[in-house]
Amino acid sequence: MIGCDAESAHTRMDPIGPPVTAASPSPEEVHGETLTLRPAGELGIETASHIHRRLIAVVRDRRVRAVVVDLSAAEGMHSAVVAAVTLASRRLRGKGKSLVVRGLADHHRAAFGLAAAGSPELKRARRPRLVERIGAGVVGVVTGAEGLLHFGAAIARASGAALLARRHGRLPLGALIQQGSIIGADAVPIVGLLSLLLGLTIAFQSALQLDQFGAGLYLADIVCLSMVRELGPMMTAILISARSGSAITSELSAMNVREEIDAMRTMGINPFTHLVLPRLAALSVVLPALTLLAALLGILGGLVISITQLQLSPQIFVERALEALSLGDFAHGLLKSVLFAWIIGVTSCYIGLGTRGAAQNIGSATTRTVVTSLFLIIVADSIIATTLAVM
Amino acid sequence: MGAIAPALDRPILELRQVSVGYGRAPVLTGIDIEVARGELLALIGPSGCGKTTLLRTILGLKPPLAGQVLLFGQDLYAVTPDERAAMLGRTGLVFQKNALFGSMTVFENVCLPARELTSLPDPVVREMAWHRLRLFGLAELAHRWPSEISGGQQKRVALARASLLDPEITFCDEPTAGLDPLVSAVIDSALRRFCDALGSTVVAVTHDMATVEKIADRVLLLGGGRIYAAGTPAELAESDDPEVHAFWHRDPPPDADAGAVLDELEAS
Repeated sequence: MIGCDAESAHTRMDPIGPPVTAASPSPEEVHGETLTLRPAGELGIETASHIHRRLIAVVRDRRVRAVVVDLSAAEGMHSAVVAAVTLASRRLRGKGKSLVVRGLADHHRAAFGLAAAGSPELKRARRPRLVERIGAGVVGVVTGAEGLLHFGAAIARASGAALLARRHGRLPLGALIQQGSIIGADAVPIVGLLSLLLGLTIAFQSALQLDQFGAGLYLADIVCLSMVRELGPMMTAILISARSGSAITSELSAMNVREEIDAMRTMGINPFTHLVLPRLAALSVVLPALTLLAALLGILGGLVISITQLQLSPQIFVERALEALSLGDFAHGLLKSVLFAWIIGVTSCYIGLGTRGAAQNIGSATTRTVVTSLFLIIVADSIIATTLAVM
Repeated sequence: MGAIAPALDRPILELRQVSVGYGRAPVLTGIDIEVARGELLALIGPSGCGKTTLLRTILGLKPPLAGQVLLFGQDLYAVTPDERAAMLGRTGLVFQKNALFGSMTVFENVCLPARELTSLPDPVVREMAWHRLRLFGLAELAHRWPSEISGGQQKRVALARASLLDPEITFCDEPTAGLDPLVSAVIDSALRRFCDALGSTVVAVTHDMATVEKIADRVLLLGGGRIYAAGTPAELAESDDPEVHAFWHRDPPPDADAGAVLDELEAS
């Protein structure tokens, strides 16, 4: 980058700071308390790094009071060199020393002209104290709860308006069918396969234990009750939360970031009617349907294991299943799935419509949706199970 | 990276019989362009004429259907990916939509090229970033996130980032689109200063005729799938060609179909 012959490197009289070799990109000499740097040739990024290191060493060196940067042998000059010199100048001034630039050609002056004076260091933001963080957390929870209440009220208003509307403002059936297809029909293969595998696994593990006590006959009771009342609704809700809840949030977040939601509002179109209600309604219909499918396929898995592992006839398994299950069990599972549908729908739409700012917020919003809805689903399920057990 | 270099005789960018388009359908054909060091070239033309497509080809993002793109004297599409990356590292680019990283503050966005592409000490990088931020009047916004600043401010941040390492050639896609006249003037002046102070070359794709008239050394008007006209802003402004005159003076020919329905109804 810079021409530097051995002779010029040897002109130093009293080396100061780190040793400068003959290959140094910036020859230097010292007269009394003044250090003169004479960078030559094209001054690029490497020279800037060298000048920075050299001048920062001089800042701490008590023997040097003044620095001269002589650019008379320099040709082109990178902005990094300008930055290294201005930075060193400020630091030297802070120590009561001086830095002078000499031998400036017109293009050097132009390059220095692009650098504005005074470059304040970035102040680091103060870390909030523990009390402040706790306070901020409490305020966040309260604000979130308030927002959720407003959101619920807006859904209720939009639902009422959609039911009463004669023409404009009705629930868009096209969107409802489309969402039903995306959330429901497209999820059938994955929900079906996983439920079948889950039924097979539970039945297999149970069969091993029951067979030891000669109680293999009760395999149908275990598989049917667990799939219809608990695992069917829970498994389906978890899958739909991860698959569709995240998709709803990312879609609504992207619309929000691109100001499409604001555009709807300014056109007088209620985003709740056109975006939230179709998704909530579709979830409320398809999640129970998928839950029923999951329960039946799980039971089918149990039937397969009872035939292959316990050598029971299908007729006996079905008879036991019909005896163990009641309509109340199906109602329990299906009503719970409706509740889960609402948790997924409200959480994903609430977070999606609340996302502002840049595109990277979409990713964090999607993660928050999945974590929050899974948490709420499991908490709701625990409350229901505990309450029913106590009653 | 581009330390100030004396102007060389060889063009910094050369397009030889380049055709660009989508699929096999060319939008522009037989494009020959030579850009000299230190020149500020404006590419103008009606929407959809292929300006941005041509720019993407020059930037190595879209291979030409035919012809050669020579950047720094080397065929951009005949070199290895590493060589191409090194060549493009000597250029700067301002995207039409700014392409700022939303997960970084304004200051971090501007520092990014120096931190990623050089081994400069961080204090020097920060000093360089401050110089650029002040030059573009952005010092007060250094701590903000890109989503918290206006479109004009984002454009200035994009310019500050693109110019941090003194690129030998800077490409700007619509540098002043959607900005108020004052901010446009700031950006125009900054582009001109880079050309003059650093010997940097600028190729700007633009619709903003005020920018073109003010700062361009040379203008290429694209249209009809080719370079329709070329010259200095003054030459194009005085052109007798009706198409050039209409475009330059924002004076569209009268719409022949306007009022046709009414004429038809009245006639019947």
